[in-house]
Amino acid sequence: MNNTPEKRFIKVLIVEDEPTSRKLVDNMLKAASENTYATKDVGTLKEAREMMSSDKVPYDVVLLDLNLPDSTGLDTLTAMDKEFSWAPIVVITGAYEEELGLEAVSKGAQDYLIKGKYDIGMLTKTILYAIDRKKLQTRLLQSEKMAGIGTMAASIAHELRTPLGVIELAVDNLTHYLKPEDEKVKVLISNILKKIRETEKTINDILSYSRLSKPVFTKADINDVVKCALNDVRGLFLDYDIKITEEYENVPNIKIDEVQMAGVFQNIIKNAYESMDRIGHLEIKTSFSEGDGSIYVRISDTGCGVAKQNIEKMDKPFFTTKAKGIGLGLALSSRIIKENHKGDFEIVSDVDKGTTFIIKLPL
Amino acid sequence: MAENRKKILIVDDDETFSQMVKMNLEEIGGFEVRVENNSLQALSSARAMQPDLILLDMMMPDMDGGEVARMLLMDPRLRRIPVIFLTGIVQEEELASSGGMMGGRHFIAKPVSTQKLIDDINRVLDRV
Repeated sequence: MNNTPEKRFIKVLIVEDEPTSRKLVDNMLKAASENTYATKDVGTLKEAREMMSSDKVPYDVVLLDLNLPDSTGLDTLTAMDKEFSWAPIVVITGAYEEELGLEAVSKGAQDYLIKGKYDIGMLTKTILYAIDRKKLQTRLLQSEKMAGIGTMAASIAHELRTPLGVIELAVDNLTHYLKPEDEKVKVLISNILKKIRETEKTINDILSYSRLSKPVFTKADINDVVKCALNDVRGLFLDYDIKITEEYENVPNIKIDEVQMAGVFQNIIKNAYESMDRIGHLEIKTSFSEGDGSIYVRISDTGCGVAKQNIEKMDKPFFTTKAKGIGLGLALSSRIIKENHKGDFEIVSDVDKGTTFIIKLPL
Repeated sequence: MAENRKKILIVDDDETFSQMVKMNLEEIGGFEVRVENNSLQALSSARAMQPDLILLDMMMPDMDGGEVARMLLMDPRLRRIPVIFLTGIVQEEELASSGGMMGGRHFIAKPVSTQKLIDDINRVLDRV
C-alpha cells in the first residue's frame, strides 16, 4: 500500500478588481503549467479575507493588487498581513508605482510585480521565491523564539521546582508525624503528591520541548518500537472498553532514536485513548512504501475527532483542546519526527468519527 | 548516639527549601545539619563544620554550585568531602538513566522526596 500524500497544486489567490488583469494572471499561470497552479480570484479585500478564512486547504501565495474598491495602498497589505501572517504575499502595483512596491516589501510583502511589466517566467519565479522566502522567514522566527523559550524555560523550571521541593518535603514531614493509617490523611497526602507530580510533568514538558535533545540513532525494527510503546500505555486504560487491532507489515530496519520515537507513539496512542471516552477502536498499522523508501505508521481511533480549523494548529506549541495538559505533547512529537528524523506526519480527522495519524519515516 | 550522627552542610540560597531539608534530614534521617544560604560563605561554613557531606545547589546568585565545588577542591582540608548537587534544571528521568551521575558528579533533581534524599546521601557516604 502506498500512503504517499497526493502531490498538491500551488494554491494561488488572485486579489484584483480589474477583471482583465485577473484573467491575464490566471491565463499566464495556466500557460506556465496546467498542473502546477490552482487559482482562485476575488475583486475586493472583503472577499479575499473570506476566501482565506474559509478554504480548508490554505493558499500558498496571495497576489495582491493594493488598490481595491474597499481598500487602497499599503492599508490593503497591512490588513491582509495582520490577519494571515502565515501567507506569502506578492503585491501587484501600477505601472508608475515602483516605490510603493518597495515600501510594501519593507512592510512584509515577499515581493512585488509591476502591472504590464512581467512575463510568465517572472511571475512563476516570483511566486516560487515568495513561498520559499516565507518558509525560511517562518523557520528563522521560530528558531529565534525557541532560543528565547529555552532560556526562559530553564529559569522557570528552576523557579518552580524549588517551591515544589519545599511542598514535597513538608508533606513528607507531616506524614512522618501524622497517623498514616487515617484514611482521610492518606487521601489528602496522596492528592498533594499527585499534584506535585503533575506540575513536575508540565515543567518537564516545557523543558523537553524547548531543548529538544539530539537524537541517538540505532538500527531498529519500528514494529518493536510501536509494540513497546503500546504496551507501556496499555495499563493506563485498563478499565476502558477499547478494541485494539494491530497489523504489522514486515518492514526494513530503520535508523531512529528509539527512546524519542517510542515517546512519539506513546503520545499519539495516549491522545487516541483519551479521545475515545472509554469505548472505541484503536487501529495500529505499519507499512513500507518502496515508492518513496519510507516506513509509515498509522494510528487511528474512533474518538471525538478534531475540528477542521484545529487540525493545522495541533502540532503548534501550547495549543490544546484537552482539559488537562498544556499542549506540548504533539508539538514535541512533531519536532522529533520532522527535525530529528527528517520525517513527516499527516492528521486526518472528522469530528465525532475519529482521527488518524500517519507518520512517515524515511529510511 | 549524638556523636555518631553524620554531619551535612546544605548550601542553597532558598531559605525555606534549605530549612525544610534540614528539618527532614534531622527529624527523619537522623543527621546533624547546618544551613548556609550565602554561597560566598559556603567555604568558611564548611571549614567551621567539617561536614561529612555537602548538599550544594547548582543555581545560586553570587557564586553558583559549580564554582563553590571548584573552590572546595582547591582547599586541602575540604577537597575530600563528598558533594551532592541539587538541581532544578535537570530532570529526574535524565539523571535516573545514569544513576544520578553527570560528568562524574552526583546530582539530585528537585523536587525530591525525603526518602530518596536520605537514600542518596547514605549511598554516597557508604562509598567514602
